[in-house]
Amino acid sequence: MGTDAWRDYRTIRDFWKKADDLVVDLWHRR
Amino acid sequence: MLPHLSGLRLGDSAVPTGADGEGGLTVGQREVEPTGALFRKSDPLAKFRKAVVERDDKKVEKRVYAAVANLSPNEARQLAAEFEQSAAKAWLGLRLVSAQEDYHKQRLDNVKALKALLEAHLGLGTLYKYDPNRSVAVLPTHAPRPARNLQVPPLAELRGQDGHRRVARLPHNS
Repeated sequence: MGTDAWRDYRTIRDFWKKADDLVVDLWHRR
Repeated sequence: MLPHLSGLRLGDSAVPTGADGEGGLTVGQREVEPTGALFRKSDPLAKFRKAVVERDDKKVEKRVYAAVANLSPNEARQLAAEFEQSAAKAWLGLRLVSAQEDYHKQRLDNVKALKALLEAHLGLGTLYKYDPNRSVAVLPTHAPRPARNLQVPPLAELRGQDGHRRVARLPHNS
């Protein structure tokens, strides 16, 4: 974990969006 | 009209300003309104930070290009340093959260910490891709994926030392 560089900008953006959705989802589920 | 204002003339201030209690502006004096914020030039750094976290895929490229065009090389370097600092902070936050005993109890905190890290990486990635001054030369190292955060025991533990499966065979499977 945390040893390889990101492949490209698009991948970072996709993961950021997933994490953002997850935060909203978990927040509403509380 | 209210009784205490009835004596006021046009241009008089309701609050007495002079030493003698006489209100109003002197000749040539202008009333200063707090309108500075309306005409202030927008902060290019703040514009870039906002463009980075634009969720709409169709709008993001346009916004980022517009924000990058406003940045001087110095400002781009400043932003890169800022994103690196917040990434380092987010790594620390992520380690602290995942050290908690119950992952599922801390799940929201965990995901929030992960999001903060990804946001910092996204800022660096955006500079890497769009900044013509190349303030970020290499992409940052991976953040852990959300799915990988789940604690999965290693295969050997599931199988036991002898390599045989510990899961009971189902009737239709034997």
